[in-house]
Amino acid sequence: MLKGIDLEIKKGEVVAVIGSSGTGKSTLLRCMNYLETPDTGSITIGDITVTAGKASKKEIHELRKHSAMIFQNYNLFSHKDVLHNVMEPLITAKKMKKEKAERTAVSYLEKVGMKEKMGQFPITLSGGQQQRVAIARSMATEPNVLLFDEPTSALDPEWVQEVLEVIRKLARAHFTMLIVTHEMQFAKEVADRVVFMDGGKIVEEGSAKEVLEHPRQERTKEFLKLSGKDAADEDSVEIKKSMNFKDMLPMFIEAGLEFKPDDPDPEGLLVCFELIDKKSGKRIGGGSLAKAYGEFLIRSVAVEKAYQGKGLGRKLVEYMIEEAKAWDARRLLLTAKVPGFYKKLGFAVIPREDAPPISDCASCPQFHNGCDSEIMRLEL
Amino acid sequence: MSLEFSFNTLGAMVRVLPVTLSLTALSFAASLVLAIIIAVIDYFRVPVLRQIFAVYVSFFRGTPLIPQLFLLYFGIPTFVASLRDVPAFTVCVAGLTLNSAAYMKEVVRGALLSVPDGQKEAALAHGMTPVQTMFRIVLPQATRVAVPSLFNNLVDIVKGTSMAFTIGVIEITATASLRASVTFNYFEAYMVLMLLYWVIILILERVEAAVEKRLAVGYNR
Repeated sequence: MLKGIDLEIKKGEVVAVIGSSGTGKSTLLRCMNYLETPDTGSITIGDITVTAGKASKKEIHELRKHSAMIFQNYNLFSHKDVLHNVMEPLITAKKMKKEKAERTAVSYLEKVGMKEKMGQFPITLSGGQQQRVAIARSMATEPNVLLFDEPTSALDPEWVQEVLEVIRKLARAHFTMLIVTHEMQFAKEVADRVVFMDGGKIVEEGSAKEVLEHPRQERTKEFLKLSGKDAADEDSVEIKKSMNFKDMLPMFIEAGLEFKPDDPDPEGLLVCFELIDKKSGKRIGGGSLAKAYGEFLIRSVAVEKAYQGKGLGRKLVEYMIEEAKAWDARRLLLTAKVPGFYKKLGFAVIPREDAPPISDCASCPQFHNGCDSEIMRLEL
Repeated sequence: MSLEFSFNTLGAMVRVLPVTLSLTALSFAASLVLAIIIAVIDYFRVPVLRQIFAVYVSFFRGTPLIPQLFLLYFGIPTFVASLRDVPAFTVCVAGLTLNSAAYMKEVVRGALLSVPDGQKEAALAHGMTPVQTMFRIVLPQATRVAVPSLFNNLVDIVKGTSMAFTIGVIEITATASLRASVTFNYFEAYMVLMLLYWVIILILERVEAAVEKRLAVGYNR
């Protein structure tokens, strides 16, 4: 239930809408393309305006052509393959000829990194891959504004970054976007403006820095505190060094890293890192650094689910990088399940052929089939 | 037990098999079209038409086939002179169509509802019209769900053609009955008739399996 919204977005702006569930964020987004029918008010996108209560079917149809929506559960057309999913709106709504639609679709699939999967059907793809195809489908219609309805909320953590990376690229290319999201860090990074909603109204809006770091309204402050996204977290954890790889193995496995419960310590293990929550004394994350094949390797990095998203993973890796420097390492390698995360820390992808054999991805059934891990390197 | 009679009867039935098969094919095709029309009208909640069809469905599901055929063939022409020359075959197709469509409409409607709303929303959110959405996104996905049930309806139609006999159409049941009543070889006649129906339906089951396999493209991991 929306109780009066007044919102203006400029072309090329990225606006993030945050707030608890049920506060009307999705409803607001869905009113923009009339998937929800507003009672009063009007919606203007580009050169078309629709007035609630007087909207004709033709006007609604025109309005919808000016935007494209990316849904929380992707909503790819399950009976069509990836390529035809992207082509469909081009042929039907944009009235493109088949050849042109195909070329356009392929180029956008390439932009989201899904070109090789174009003959596959959605059911064979991972959530992150499906969402990327969904983004390509929306981009291809070249709308005035892209509407994102909690694009990463239904994704396993390992796929969230790859989707955020695509959205990041779109932001850099100055697409106009309205993103409803729970990912605060991401909103801070990518959004020009942030809108905080509660109880069906906009409570506060402003630049990302203003709303997320220096909120003025009480409700905003409360919400941000509950999400635990404030900088105070920096001092609530400490990193201890140890050789406790075995103890942390269950945590690594749970985070999705490729270890088995009875694996021995990694070859050439130098030191393990334990992320300890100061208040409870519990271990909430960890990592390990090893030297093998003549290279310094980050063998594992993990943060417990409940503590993710606060920059702790980043802190841990930065600590490990410092440690590696103390060992006189010239460079650091790792196998990244989520390359985007490490890219932000300065790692670069290197092609498998040029890298030492630090991982046996080739023998894993998930390789190139839901898992896009890369070998990455950081020059120290 | 006369084997000679059985073979002769089988031969006679095979000669009129085209009648049974064409009754089936025409009725099924027409029923399917009618069922889809009614289901789509239901889905889009078209006023007036929706109510009219609701009455029609209730009536034809609530009455047996033979009385329906009688009403159409004997009853209505007493009022409408121009209909008196309509051949029994045509009336039979009409009757089977009206009867089956009433049942098939529910199958189609259920299948349409089984397609997740998100599919429809994604289509609309990218500028597709409701009609495009229905025919390019919803119906194709609904088809997969509807096929097993629709084949059931097809089998019912095949068996329904045996009632054409009651209004004078000479198809396989008619042939079997007529020959049996002349020679009193009831057992052979009806046994061969049953076996023939069974073979027809076994073949249809194979077709169904092939169709389902084809429709499963895109649904197997």
